[in-house]
Amino acid sequence: MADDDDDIRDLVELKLTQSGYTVRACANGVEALDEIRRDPPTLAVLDVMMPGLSGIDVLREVRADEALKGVLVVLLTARSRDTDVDMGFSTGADDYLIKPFSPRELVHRVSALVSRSQ
Amino acid sequence: MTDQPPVSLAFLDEVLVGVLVLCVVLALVVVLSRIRIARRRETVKQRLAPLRHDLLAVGAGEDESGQARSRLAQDREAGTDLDRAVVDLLTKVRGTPADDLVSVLRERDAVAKARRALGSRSSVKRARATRTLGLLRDPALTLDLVRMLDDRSGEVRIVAARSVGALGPEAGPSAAASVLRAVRSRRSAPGVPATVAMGTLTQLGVQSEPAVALGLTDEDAGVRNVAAAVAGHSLFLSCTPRLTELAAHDPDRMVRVSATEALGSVGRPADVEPIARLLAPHEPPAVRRAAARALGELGGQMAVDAMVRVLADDDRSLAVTSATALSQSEHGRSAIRAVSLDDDAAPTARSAVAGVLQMLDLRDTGRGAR
Repeated sequence: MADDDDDIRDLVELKLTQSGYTVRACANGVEALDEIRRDPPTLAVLDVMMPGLSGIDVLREVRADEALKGVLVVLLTARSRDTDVDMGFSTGADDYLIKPFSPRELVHRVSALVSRSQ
Repeated sequence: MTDQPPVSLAFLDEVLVGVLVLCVVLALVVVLSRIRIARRRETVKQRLAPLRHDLLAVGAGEDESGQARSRLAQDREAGTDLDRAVVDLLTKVRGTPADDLVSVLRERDAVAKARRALGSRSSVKRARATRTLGLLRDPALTLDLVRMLDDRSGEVRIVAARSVGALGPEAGPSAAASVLRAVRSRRSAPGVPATVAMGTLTQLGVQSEPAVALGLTDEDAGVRNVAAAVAGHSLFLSCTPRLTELAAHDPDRMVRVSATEALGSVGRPADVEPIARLLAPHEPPAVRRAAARALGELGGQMAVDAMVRVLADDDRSLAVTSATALSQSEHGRSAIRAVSLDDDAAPTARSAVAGVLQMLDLRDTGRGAR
């Protein structure tokens, strides 16, 4: 899970942990990409607007890397325009959630993606 | 003749030293204020640390027993720092957690505190209080928020407009009228920005229709512009006749563009002809492009014919806009493919459709790959 906002990061970590997932939290895109490459997760929840490397940049790197082909990516962002959503999906996101978000909905979407991929 | 003393050089040196000292002082002020902010943040963080887990539990919807909510509501140690933390979290979540955070704020007497702060001398405090009241999403607070649309601070007016929007249709039609009035400039200060007002009026839904219809006849071009954009976006069909008039005759070009684009959403087949007339070469380029976009939305043979005619226009931007608009319908796509294959077609027209056809092919290839 990568977000430069402490509140969002801690909320998502708490909610997903309570739902039975193991969560690794990162505060920026560079850290997130390193972490994904070091130990590819089943799914990554990425904020889009992060310092250094944006969520879209991280997603692009992940999709370009054959070794990370199976990593599911959910973008969680305040960018809500149609063009932003189009950009997210066309870059290869598996889902797109707009902030303010419902933590419960996030868990449902993560769970649906994970179970469908298995 | 006497030699000029080297006063000017000495003076320049003094100025340079003065500027350097000023820069150093400014840099110090910036550094010190950043240190102060960081320390303040750290102090607040430490003060809230014992409540952090409760805050997150409520925000994440993980407080089924209601104990965390109750502890937050009853805490008196953290004071306004906790109020602000709850408000911050409230901007980030929705659904049950947001409702629970609102109930924490209510139990902490945040409504009364925010109402008192609306009269503060500090615009920051007024803006913060307005934001808090808006986040509570309580229609009973509409009047308080609407009053802040007349605040002397532009920032507060923007926060008030957004907060009224957060109330949704329950804010009522008079709130919509107030938001539109707030778009007008006042005493040399700009009104609420058009994009903010558009967002708010759109959130108010059908409740804004009477105000929007009236706004289309307002003497202020900014108000007419916002009203036209919202009429199109919210599909207010009752506004169509007035939009047609504004598109053709409004003295303000921006209003004409917004009205023309709105007709693309709410126009009827009978509106195709007057919109097609807006493609004429004597019309401003922005209005012509808006007309092409509107015709693309409306579709139909007459619209397609009008758009094909401007593919060879000297204004390349209009030609490309038209080609893009044509690509939205099957009929239009057939027309641009025909132009691309027609050896007698003007080179400018073929060039305008080439890029759009490439995009279409890429999209089809992408679909095929999936």
